[in-house]
Amino acid sequence: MSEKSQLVNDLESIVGKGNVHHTKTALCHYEYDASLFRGCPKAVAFAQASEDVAKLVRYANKHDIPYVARGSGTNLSGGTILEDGLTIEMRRMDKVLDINLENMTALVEPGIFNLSLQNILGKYGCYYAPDPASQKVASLGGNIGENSGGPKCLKYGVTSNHVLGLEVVLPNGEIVWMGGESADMPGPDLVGLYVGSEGTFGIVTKILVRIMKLPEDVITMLAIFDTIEEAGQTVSDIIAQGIIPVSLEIMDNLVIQAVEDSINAGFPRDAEAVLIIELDGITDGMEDQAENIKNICHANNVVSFSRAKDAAARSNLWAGRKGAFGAVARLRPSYLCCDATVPRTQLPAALSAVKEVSQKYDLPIGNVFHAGDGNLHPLILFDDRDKDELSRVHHAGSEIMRRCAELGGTISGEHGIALEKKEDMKTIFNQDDLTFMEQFKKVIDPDNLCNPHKIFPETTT
Amino acid sequence: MKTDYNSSDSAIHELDRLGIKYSEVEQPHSVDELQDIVRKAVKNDLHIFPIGGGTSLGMADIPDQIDILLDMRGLDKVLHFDDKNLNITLQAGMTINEIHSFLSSQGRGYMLPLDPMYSELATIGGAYAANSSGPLRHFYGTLRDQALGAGAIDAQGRKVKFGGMTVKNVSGYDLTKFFIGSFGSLCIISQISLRILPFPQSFSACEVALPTEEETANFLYALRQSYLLPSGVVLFQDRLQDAPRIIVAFEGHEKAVERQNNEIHQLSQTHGGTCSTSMGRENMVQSLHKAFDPVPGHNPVAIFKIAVPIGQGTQTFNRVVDFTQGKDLEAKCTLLAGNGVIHIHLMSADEEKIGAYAQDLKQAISGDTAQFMPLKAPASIARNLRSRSDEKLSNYLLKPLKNKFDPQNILPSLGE
Repeated sequence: MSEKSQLVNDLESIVGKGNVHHTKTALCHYEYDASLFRGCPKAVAFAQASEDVAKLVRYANKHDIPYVARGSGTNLSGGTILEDGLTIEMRRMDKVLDINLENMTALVEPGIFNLSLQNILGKYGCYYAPDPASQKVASLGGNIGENSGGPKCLKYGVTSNHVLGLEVVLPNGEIVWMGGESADMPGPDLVGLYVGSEGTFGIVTKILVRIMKLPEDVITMLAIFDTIEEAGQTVSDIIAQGIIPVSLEIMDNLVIQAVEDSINAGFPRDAEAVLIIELDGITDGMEDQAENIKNICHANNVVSFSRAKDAAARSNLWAGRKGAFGAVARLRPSYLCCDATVPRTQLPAALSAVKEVSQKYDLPIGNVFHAGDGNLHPLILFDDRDKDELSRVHHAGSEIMRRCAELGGTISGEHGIALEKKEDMKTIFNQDDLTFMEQFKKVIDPDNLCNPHKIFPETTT
Repeated sequence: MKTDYNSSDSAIHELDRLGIKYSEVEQPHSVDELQDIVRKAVKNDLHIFPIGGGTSLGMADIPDQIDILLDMRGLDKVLHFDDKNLNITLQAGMTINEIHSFLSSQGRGYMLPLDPMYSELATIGGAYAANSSGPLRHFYGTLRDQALGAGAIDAQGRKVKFGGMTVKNVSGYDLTKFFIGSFGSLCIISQISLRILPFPQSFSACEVALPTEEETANFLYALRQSYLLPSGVVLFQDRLQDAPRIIVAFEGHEKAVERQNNEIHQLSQTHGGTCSTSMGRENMVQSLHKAFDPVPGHNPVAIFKIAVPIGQGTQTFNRVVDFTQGKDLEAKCTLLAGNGVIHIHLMSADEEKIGAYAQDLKQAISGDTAQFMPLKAPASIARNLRSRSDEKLSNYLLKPLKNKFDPQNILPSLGE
């Protein structure tokens, strides 16, 4: 029997016949994710239970095969790419196992789509706060891996602020539980360590999340500006007034055009910048806050200011914002999405830097960003069939990250380091910092088989 | 030097009371000095125990003999304050009250919504090490939700940093969260960057008194099911024999606070109770402190903390009160109703009685979901009571990490 056949045989004995992909055609779907990286696995095994995952990990250990967990493959930094390794596919583990309204928690499997969870919780008048733009297709396990954010995180925090417990298959194949429904578990915060660890410390097989009651009221506003700088200043002024909205999101004209062609969300095509502002909470006082925000917009030369009349209008606005990444595919076949974060007041400087980079490398760059928390997503548009453009794209992306780090920010706000940014880690951490951090990986995964060669520069000792 | 190291220093006094011995005391006033002390410890194989205000020593696994007692309170400066970006970076030895005082005096007034017990003594580094929090965690979360980044000296004497200055940050592992609650066992935190908030427009505190345990439970349940968004909800008794009362704090837009006050009044009447309201930040803070902190003028000899799932909070609180009443002990019990966190303050000075009570209580409420933690207790009692991590977590993760990061074991134990 060939080595490949033996592998397939062994994997099928763990997860069942029909649950292993190994042909060239099937594997090509797993050689890419939402990043620019490519890497074809040896095989893909579909797990359906925690024990499957544990057995697969133990098998990989025994045969010295690197492995990576994969949900929907929406990873933007190459986190789910692993050349010649074993991909453990988690999407079939997609159940909601328990919803506890007394304790305001939900226990779910990692393969469930973020939006599917929201829709289920909505029937109970509840929701799960982290709402990445990819929520229609991104899995919760992937959200855990990347510590995903989303527009609501300005007010409610990111994924790690809403995860209470995890069941994890460790790199040694043991299944452990960390965290729980009771607050303040003793010892260091292992859940906090695992969220955002990009699948390098093991594979999450169950997730206990905090759920919240849907707010009493929501007001969603749309402000149109002639310059992105005025939109940015408006954001700063709103926060300076002591108002912390749920969301403050900006898109520039290039992205607006693509969104309108694709989704027809109702954004004016000639707008240089649109700012979406959302408030939620107790009804009383919200009208005052909305009026305050309107005045701030006018003080910054807003061209037009409107409010979503109803839930459908609100939904349409957000569809426009959350569909932005997909929409830009109309402009060029590929994009590199940068993910740097700067202090909010440095947004104008960061946007200037992006503009300069665009001119320097002769690449169109559209801007979408979580303005409230300074998390930019410059979308560098290009054609990946053009090797010269591809090379310029990586240089442009690195330069944007470096410039943002120089402004007091960081290189990744929510998409992760993985392959894309690992060399850029040296921009923000010195050798001692990197060595200190990498020791966690060496301890937890001494054989370096669990999603290896991610996060750390090749030159870290 | 900040202190004379006599028995009037509360942190040293607490160590003396616990019978902990130390060979020398060092109080660095800069990160470089801190680094030198750690390097000295590495070179001479000395054991270090960092201390701040000494307000959560019961949770730490303190050795009977410490070589270097590292008083972190000399590192007490604000390193960076950014009102426009709503963050602050502080040295680890600054007390919580000092931080509050600094922030409230800046511009329009800012706050760090962190209010552990003994805020006049507890340092931010100590709160980080012990994962301390108070009533405001109901709305604002804990340090897990407020810390953005930190700087530390590792057990090899190297300066390291992690996290950053932005809320959105996934550059590398989230060590800022990981080290919360680690009691300095893997590195010594020298500075912390935190998210701050502008003061809300309006503050209030409602004190609710209900006629029976059942109505109290019903009231709290109804509050949880409502749209109301209190910043803190504390069920408390000043003495065991007292009927419990509830402080419900609100802050935010004045119209929102007014409406919520009105609804609490109606809710309390629906459940046969009474409600009084006081406005203003100072009144709100005092009310929460009155409910949550030890009784003024009475220094508890032991404080225990029990964490249960939110839905079990009231039931467990009542069981704890009933249990404690049966033991002829002078005590105060509180429940952070939105988090399922119960504190028991014992005034009795009889160490043997405290030990027996604590063991029996732990047994009485034991179950997978209840965590029992001594915040303040004689070392011999605390050691036997401390909840341990799951064996697998300990063997596969925590012990290996400890061995890697602190091979000479110069830092405090992980308690595993």
